[in-house]
Amino acid sequence: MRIKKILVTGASGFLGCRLVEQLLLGEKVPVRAMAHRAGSAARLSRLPVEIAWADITDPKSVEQALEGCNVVVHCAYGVRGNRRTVRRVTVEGTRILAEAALSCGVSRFIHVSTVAVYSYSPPSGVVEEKTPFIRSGEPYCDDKIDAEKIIWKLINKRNLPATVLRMGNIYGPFSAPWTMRPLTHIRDGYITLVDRGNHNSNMVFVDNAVEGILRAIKEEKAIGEAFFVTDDELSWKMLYGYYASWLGNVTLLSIDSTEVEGMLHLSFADKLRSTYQAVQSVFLPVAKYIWQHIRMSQFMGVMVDALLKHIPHRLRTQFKNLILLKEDMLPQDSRLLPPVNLLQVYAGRAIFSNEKAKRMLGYRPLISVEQAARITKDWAHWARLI
Amino acid sequence: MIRIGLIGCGAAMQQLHLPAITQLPGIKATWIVDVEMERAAVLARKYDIPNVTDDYTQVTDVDAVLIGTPHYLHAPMTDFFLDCGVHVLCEKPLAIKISDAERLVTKARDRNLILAVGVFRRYYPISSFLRHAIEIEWLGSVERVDIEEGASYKWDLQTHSMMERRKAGGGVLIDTGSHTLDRLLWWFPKSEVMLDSYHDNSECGVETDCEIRFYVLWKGHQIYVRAELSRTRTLRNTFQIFMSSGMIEVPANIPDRGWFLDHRLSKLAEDIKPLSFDLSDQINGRTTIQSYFRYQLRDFCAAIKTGKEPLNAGSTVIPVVLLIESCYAKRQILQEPWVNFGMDRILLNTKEA
Repeated sequence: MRIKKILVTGASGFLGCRLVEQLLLGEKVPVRAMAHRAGSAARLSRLPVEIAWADITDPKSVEQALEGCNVVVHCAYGVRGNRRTVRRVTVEGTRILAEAALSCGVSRFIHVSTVAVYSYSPPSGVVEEKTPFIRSGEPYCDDKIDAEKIIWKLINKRNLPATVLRMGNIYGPFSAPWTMRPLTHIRDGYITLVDRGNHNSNMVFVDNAVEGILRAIKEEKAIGEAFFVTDDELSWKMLYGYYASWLGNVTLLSIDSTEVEGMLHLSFADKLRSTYQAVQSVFLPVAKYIWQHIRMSQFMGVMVDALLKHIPHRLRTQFKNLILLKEDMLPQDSRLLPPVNLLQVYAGRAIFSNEKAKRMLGYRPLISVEQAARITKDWAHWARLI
Repeated sequence: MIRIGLIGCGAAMQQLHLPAITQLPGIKATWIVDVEMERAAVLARKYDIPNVTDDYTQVTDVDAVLIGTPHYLHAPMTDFFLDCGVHVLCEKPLAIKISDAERLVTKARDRNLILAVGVFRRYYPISSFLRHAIEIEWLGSVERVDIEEGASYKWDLQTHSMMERRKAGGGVLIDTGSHTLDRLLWWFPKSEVMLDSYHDNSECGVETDCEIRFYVLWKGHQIYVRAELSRTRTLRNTFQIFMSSGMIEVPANIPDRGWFLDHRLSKLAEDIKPLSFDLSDQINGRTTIQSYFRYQLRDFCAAIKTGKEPLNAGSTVIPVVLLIESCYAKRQILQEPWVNFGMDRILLNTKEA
């Protein structure tokens, strides 16, 4: 297959941006980067890349973005907005893009999926690519399942030349969930290990994830197949051990998986907290919206300013604190615990093996754990995280 | 009543300038212009602005305009309105090229018009305080300045122009740097600048990170400055001014707070901690960032009425425009090892059959 141009969706995101970098600066192939919001595309915009500003849920703009491309790498998924918008981008966006790709006859369609299609607590042991999805009610996991289902339907019924890559947990420079967040958690004394971190983390270094994508583009055998793209086995203890050492040998705190299971059965305090957070998540945006309109309006704005002047500063601050942050007003565990679904991931004993990717695609995690750690450390230092 | 035309309806105009105009007496927006008529029309309805157009040359019967368009349009639009005999408050940067900026300043002066630039951070109490503290050598003479300003880019941009080199003129340097470096140079009036080095990570696009090293030659002193700016990293976000008898540190974007270290006090105690100071109005409390857009506009209106130069007069931003232009002209690559790692192998090619 001769590559004319590769369209990368979600190109302003963490993986998409790194893929575009590699395609442009390393592979030197023609690329069109598709992104939606300019405000999120700062890092992408430093590259000499053609950017298609498009809304993936708008078929017309997707069609235009696809023009002249014969390979699509679909990294985009919903991250902003309310639940409906997020789902629409992930699921409906995938359908619109894949159908448009079919109509314009692309040669390859790489759908970037995730191991989270097996939920945040997948079954223990080796999971195979053919293992059926596991619905869990977690929005991100279930949306990614539905997006994948659309791809499988189009592969089977309309011969979409697609490959599904289920990425492991992607870490490395600019990774918010698996580098920035754990570094912050470790530094701040959060619990970051379950069962002393002995389970497999199913991590993949970002450049190895890109390697998986490049292999899938190159290999014709990849069409109609799903692959896990992960590094060779790497325990949480080992990866987070690196992080802890960069922070000055901070002690990693661990809890037992039995305790994590217990947490899934919510206590009264937890229920109270989650209810409060749910109410807050609806109330706060509405209140902020109303407040901004009051401040912007010609008469009310001046009146409110005048009124505020008469309320002591301390009282105003206390009122603001009362509305904005009530976490500590509720009974809770004195230990610093990350969200339960993150603990579930830490407690998982599943192994998403890269065996099939190695066998069929010739995939290898090119960057070793030691090299990855060195690069990530350099970046984390530069990013003032360590 | 000053009749003002608003040119461009981007994020800054909507969130910062328009609320300021509605809250200020003696000024009325009579025109609103945007390439997207619909966006302008929505704002016109919301703020009761009688005239809407997508062509700025149609704007008539105004005393002043506020220009908040993509960077590359600042100079031609300012030029046009000065030719029309209209006072101009232009968002920063005044121009991408120093030659344009100088021409505009001369034109405004020749025609007796007010040309102001939206460097609103000069209105922060901390800015005037520092200008004065440096002038009187409060903690001795300034020896070195270290600046870091950076956070993840979060503007809700209405257009993509900020992410296009041709339209934005650059990235974080011309955007954030127009504020950060302007404030620094404003603290050292009538100084000369000697650029040492400039590094950024642009690959022909707009840079997200940069580092500038230069000297400010002021009153016989040579002050070394290092400034690091970022759109991707949370940096220290302060100015550190090292003086012969101590150090002052002020946050880059908090209007009224700072802290200082006076080495002379170490005679009193071994371990002297930085002492903080607060310049906020103790009666009315803290002022929001939005308020400084109101102060800026009030100063602009006063300048129109009295003919007195505003604090942010066009002529006073010439040094920062010149410095930014010199930086881009002498650009060196900012090394990011994690970007180029593993790029020595090619897997795909475009010629494969």
